[in-house]
Amino acid sequence: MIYLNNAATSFPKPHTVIEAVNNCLQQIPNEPGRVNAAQTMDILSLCRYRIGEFFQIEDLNRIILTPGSTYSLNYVIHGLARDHSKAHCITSVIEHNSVFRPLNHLAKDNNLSITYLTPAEIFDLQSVKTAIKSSTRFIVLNQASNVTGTILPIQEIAQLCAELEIPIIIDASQSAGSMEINVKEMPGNLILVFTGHKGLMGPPGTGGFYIGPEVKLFEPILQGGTGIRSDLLFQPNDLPIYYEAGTMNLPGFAGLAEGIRFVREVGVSTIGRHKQRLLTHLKDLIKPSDALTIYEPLDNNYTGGVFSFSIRDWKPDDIGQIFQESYDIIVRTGLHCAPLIHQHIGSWPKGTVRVSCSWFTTEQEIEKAGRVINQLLRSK
Amino acid sequence: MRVVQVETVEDCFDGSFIKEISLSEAISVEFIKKMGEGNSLEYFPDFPRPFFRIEKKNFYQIKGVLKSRSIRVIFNRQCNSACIESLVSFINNLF
Repeated sequence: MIYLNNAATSFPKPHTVIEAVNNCLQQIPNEPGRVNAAQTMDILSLCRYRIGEFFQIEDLNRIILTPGSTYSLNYVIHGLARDHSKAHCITSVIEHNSVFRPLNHLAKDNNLSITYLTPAEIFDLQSVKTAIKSSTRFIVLNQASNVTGTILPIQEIAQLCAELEIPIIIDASQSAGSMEINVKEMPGNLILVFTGHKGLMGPPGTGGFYIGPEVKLFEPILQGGTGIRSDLLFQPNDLPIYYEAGTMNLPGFAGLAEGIRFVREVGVSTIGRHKQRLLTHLKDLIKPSDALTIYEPLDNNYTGGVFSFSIRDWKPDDIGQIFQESYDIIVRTGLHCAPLIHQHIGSWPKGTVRVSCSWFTTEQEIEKAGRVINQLLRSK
Repeated sequence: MRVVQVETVEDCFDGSFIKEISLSEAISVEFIKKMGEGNSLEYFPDFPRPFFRIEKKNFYQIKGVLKSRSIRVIFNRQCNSACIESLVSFINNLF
């Protein structure tokens, strides 16, 4: 079986990630604050250290470990919107449902109003400035679309938000591990959300967020055990445990620490170039056809490792079934949990077929996918 | 040929719903032809394992691949559990 659905979850994982998870499960649990650590560095500290190195984060206590991007986005969106009736936020149409759904639940319950901008409007800073109101509490943007690979100019938007003292949440779910992200170069109003199971090569159920020093801390959404300050009946207000309640996923974070080490060793830009080269090769292999629509990224040549297409008279779902059952290739079809972008690019309501590769994807695998697309184009 | 299991795959936003039907035997050409009788059948033989679509208008669309042991059925939104049972019974009595 060939796996080309790495934008959902990367596979395979480096063998050292699997070993790290295995080793962790075979050791006496070593939770910070709960067991006296006999090792040089406990797993959570090691993971935080690796994340810090990776994103150039100096204050490791500002790295909050969570089960992933969906959890992180929900946490920070609900946290920032809390206690602000009639608050306003800005987002883009390329976001994932892990942004749209918490925003819309808040809109339903708390009168949060939402402004959706198109990528073109995001690129035009003036449109963003115009959309900002006195009640704007935060802006939440995807760094890279999981459908087209469009990369938004987060640095410029973050700078604009800093001038207006508005926190900006950047969803780096698709970009982390494929594009360099340097927190040192970003203003202090940044909240950076990442997941472990995609480009960072870690296990599912891992991820986190970084909260910049200029973001006013919000009340914790979850409260519970932290292993320290057990005398307190409220969540201790020290980071990171202010936002980390309950027993942590130690095997997962052991794997994530190793995944990040692997990605750094190979090199983020090397991985990004590899993915881009493969997808450019795929595009070159496909014979030109009026029946084929490729959903290209806006304003950038780098696709973020995804290639979305559709073929006239074929439902994306049928194409996915043919890929999987007739050719043993797994691709992703449909809306990819990002409904609004399809209305924007014209692929609503059926969605697209998405091919996404990883560092481990080979040229031969991509060539096979190209042959399938060409066969589909001939079959109609 | 018997239906082994019927699993829900997805409830679609247009009201239709998708079921995965597991079969006791691999899908043969004869099975496809019988399922297609009286319905609209499309057969695509050019893939290593040919793909087929069968549409029973206003009820469902069946999609599958030759030699596979399952089919995917998209039931229209007006279908209910009786439609599913009817299809299962039809398959069970095909051969």
